[in-house]
Amino acid sequence: MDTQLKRGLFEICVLAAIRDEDSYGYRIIKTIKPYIDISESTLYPILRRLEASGLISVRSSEHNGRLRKYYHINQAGKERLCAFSEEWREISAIYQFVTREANSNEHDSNEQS
Amino acid sequence: MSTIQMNKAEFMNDLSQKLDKLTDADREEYMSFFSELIDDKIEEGLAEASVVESLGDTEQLAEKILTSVPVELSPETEYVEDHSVIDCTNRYLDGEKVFHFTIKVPRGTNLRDVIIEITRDYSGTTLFYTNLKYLGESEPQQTSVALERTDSMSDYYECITKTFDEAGTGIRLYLTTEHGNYMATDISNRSTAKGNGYWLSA
Repeated sequence: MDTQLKRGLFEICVLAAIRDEDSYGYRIIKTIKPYIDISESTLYPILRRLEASGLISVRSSEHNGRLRKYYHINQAGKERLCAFSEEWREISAIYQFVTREANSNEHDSNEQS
Repeated sequence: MSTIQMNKAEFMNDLSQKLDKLTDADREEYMSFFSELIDDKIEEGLAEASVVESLGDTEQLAEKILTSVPVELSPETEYVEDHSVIDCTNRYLDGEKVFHFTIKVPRGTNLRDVIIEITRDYSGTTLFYTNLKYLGESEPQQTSVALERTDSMSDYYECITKTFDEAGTGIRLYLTTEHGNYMATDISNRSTAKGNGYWLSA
């Protein structure tokens, strides 16, 4: 997958991973990994960027005698997810158009040969 | 030092040393993130050594981290303004309201070591600053930074960005090298055509 596209999708996936419930670093990675390959070193800069943009907030909570950071999606983060869904509808329509064109061209060339 | 057969303490110590260019606060943030991650994996039943090994080589890990965190400007550091070392040139705003400009740095410079500060026109008020590598990689939809050409002394990078259109129009560049600390302050002539753009040294 294109690297630039992947970077944008990382942020969306992280937001989606905490949309229904606050979560922590390791669990976010486990939630996302089936869909997009993300490493530990990639996740943290994304979390910081999302926090700096006000899309998520962070709190520390005690867990088994140590502190664990939990990430919470803010309203702005939810709005970003909605905006992504809208954008994706447009992209999906373009995809349908492109693949239909490609299939039709293939069909034409088969007929000619 | 390879991460193979390191335990958590050794790994943390090794990574911390390799992140010495970060501010104390940034380094602590990263260290606490990795500490939590390792503890969570161990808690799940994985062996400490294999958890540490799964995080990969500390050298590569540190490099990834360092390219994503802006280098901080130290208030104690004195920078010499020298446009023959580092400079902005050929800036113009095209018809699509996209800015183009060229940044000159000494040949072989790592873009992570170049701090770019965006300021308001003439007033010089800082809007934000980051390192050039991060700017190009973190906002791929908005900004690209690509090597345009090289001569015997310098590398010239073309920056294309949509993010500055409504914001600042001034740029300050900072570079720390083994020979000294250099900066350049530049304000655009507001050109709208390629070839006519230039920067007024302030």
